[in-house]
Amino acid sequence: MSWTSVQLLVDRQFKEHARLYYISLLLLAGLLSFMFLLIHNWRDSFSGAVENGVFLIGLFLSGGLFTNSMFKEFSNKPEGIWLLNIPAGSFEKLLSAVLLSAVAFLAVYLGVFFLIDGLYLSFSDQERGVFEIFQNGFHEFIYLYLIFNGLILLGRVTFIKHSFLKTMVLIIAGVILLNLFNNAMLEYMIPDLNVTSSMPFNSFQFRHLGENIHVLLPSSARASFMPVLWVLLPVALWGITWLKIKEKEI
Amino acid sequence: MIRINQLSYQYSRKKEILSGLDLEMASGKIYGLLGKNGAGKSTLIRNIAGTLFPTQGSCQVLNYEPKRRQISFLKELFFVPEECFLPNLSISQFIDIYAPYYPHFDEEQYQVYLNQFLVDPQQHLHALSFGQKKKLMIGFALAANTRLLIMDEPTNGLDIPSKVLFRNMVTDAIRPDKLVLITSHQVRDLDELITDLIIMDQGEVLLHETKKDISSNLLFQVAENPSQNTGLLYEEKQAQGWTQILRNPMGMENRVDIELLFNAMLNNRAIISTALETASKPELI
Repeated sequence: MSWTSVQLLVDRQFKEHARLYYISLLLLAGLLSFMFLLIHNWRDSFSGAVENGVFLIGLFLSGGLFTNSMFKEFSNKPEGIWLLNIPAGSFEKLLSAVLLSAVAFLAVYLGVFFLIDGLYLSFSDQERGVFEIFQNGFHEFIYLYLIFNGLILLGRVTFIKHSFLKTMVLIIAGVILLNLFNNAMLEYMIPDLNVTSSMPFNSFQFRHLGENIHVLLPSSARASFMPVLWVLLPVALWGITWLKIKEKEI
Repeated sequence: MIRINQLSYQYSRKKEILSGLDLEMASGKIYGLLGKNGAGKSTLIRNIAGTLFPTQGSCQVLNYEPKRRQISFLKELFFVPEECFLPNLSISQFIDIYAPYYPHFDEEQYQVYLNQFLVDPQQHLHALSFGQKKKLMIGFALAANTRLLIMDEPTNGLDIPSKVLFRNMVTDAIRPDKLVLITSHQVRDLDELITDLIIMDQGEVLLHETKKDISSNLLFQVAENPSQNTGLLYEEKQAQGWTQILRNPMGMENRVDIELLFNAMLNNRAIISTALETASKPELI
């Protein structure tokens, strides 16, 4: 693998879409400002850490759309042939896309989010401090974003047309199926419980004598397998994407 | 340089585009690949360029297997597809980004081509017309100095002066270690350019000969009336009279009418092939 080649590919992707990226950056700042304005105006209607919601909506929406701009050449024959024939390896092409859509995007997104959050705090009468990403394990959503990034990239090289929509439909269907499977497994393992909600790899809630009881996976268990999941899953998805690029025919 | 052995390609189980194709191409030559729409030309060159993979058989190019798309192979290949894609960049940005991928890229040579094609190097690629884009891409492809240059319908969209320039540029760019493969519907555009001719139809190679061999074995002529000559192989009525292909037992030097030969191969392959094969075999005394 050649870093010069990766650098050239990153440069190529950025310069070819520079105008779109600058406009998107302004749009992202506008969207975040609008959402902060919204929660400020309706602050009495919202409770809890609403900025967490703003952070996640912004992250997954803009991150998904930005990631989907990688390998967009594959949806058009002449562009796809052009991309495949650039003298760089499939791995280098994938790595440049991951560096831009995961690493660079996260850095830019965090920068923009904290800037808008900071501005919002300075202009509003909010008593809270600056948004803390490492509080209550919220940073795990960053790992979740990496999985999401892997899925969008995989969808991009798999589907020729409307890849983003198709991938999103599959992701939503997958999440629903995973939840249904999780509930079915819970009912199978603990048949007498009245499970009201559950979250795979995390917790479930059931009603007992009129009270909701929340059961969390022991932190030691989560600590032992979650990092594996957070690392292995995105790497596996990027790996499959790499193989798909290698096998791509146009 | 290119060795194709029993190559078949199917888009689906029912749709076979290439079937058991055998072909060898050597460096130092300019090959013209001709065929009707749907003959399999584009599929063949995309197999050679590594953007399609053979369903059966093998394809070796510069001792590489194109489907593996190794970086060293891609650095020695430039493929200009029929529909050129040019990114959203200025010409200078385009050079800055893409020239470093090609170790033998010659920027001075590229500037000369742009000047000859009258393309303003300050322009933005998306502001160029279809013909200008094609010129720019052809110029880049030639300046990349790759050992294998494949061009699919390169003269589409070029005006008449640019077609002449194109022919001169390709002729000047050919080197002993380089192979140029050009497909075209516009047979006359390749007339003066190619050294070898490949005619394809329905996924098969009908003819693969050097132009020199064709010229020394077949005689192309225009006559006012249909020929009564026993050596006549094929004739057709055209505006200027009857264009004819005859046997050329004396090996008279003459200009190959590629368009006529192409029609003859499609309409009467067996007779032309037999004439070429018989002529190429030395007579036993």
